[in-house]
Amino acid sequence: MNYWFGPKPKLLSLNLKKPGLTSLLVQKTFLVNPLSTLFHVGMVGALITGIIMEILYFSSWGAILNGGGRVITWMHGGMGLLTAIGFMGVLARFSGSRSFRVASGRMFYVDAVLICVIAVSGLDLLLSILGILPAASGWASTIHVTGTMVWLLVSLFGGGFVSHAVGTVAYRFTNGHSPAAFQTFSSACSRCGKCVEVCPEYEAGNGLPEQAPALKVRRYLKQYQGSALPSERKAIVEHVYLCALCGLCVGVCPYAFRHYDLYMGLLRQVNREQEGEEVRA
Amino acid sequence: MKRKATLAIQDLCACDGCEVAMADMGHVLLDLLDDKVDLVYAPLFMSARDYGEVDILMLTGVARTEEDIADLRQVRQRARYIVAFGSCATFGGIPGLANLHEQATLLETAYQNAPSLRTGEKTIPDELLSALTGEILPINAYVDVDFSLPGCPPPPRLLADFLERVLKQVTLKEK
Repeated sequence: MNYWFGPKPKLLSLNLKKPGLTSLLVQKTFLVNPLSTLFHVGMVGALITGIIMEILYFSSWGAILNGGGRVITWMHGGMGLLTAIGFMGVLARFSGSRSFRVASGRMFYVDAVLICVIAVSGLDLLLSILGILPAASGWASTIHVTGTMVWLLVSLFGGGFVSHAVGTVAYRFTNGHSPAAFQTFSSACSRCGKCVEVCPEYEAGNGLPEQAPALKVRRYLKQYQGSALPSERKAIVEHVYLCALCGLCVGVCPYAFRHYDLYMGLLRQVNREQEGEEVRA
Repeated sequence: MKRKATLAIQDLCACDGCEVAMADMGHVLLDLLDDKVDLVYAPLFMSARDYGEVDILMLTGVARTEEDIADLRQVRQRARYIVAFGSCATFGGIPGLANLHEQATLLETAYQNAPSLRTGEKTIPDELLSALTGEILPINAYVDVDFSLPGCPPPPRLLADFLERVLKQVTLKEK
């Protein structure tokens, strides 16, 4: 983006206050990508109805519901369909937006493949229930359920979509400016790439991913956790000085995350270390 | 028909870059002034010396001295809505980098050690000056802020979009 006269970035917040969970799920996702709202709402609904279905299946409560289990199954199918449609929109944005690709990293592909497996098997089940396809074999439901379990585990521990969802809930309950908030945000970050898109330093660096503040956030958070390797520290220091402190990344972030405070905290730390080195010299 | 909102733009310790961004809005600014906004105070654009009650006050810069803090608290009484305009007001901005150093070091560098200073007595001024604040903070550390617009400065199109959205949200009292 041409910083001065180019297309305007869309501010996601007019007051930079931390949004609530409902606002994030509905309003902020809509501002980033309307189909992403379908994806998020559908995913939450599908997971909840899926859990209920599993509980009913493995317990005797299904009989008590007296046909209510069928309603939940239909709801699950509907939610799954919403998720699939929404995910088409997410994939479309991924293919069209370089900043989204840079911010997302490789884990997006893992999430995407597993979600496609779940979606296709789910669609097979849905269409067979509707009578459009012949009755699904037992494999479809096995793949669907097993695929979901695998995706939940891989995505949670691999830093994918599920990690983002759990991190978002955890982040909601942290104090905005505390080290815990910064560390939690490393999981909560949706990797939407808006901060990359708007950064004048990213543009000035000719779009090199190393300049992207979204990547810097994760690198800096490792620094905060004290787990950055010595070889990474030099790169981190250089990137801290590159930041223009314009704060636009905060304005376009769905979470209104305080990238600015993180960079200033790191500048302070670097400054103290350098002054310490001068004194020792 | 909704009346025009009265708008004032005041700077504290600032570079006026945000006001330049506003000027760079070009015809969009003129259209806003025709239809939706009555600009009552903006030192970079007009010669008004003071202002009374306003609907929207856009503040740029940081509170660097005790006098700035007093001014800030005073203008909060006059404005229905305050906008922290630009990164300085919102976060501390470039002036906020002073927080990385001791105040004595800053004053010595500026008034005694800077290579651009001419030879001769180099004293740190301290007469008839308001005291510097200990730490540079965003303006919401001193007064309630209703809206915040980051950017150094905010690009003109972003500023235009922000103003349109704020004008839709604010409730104007009938005079």
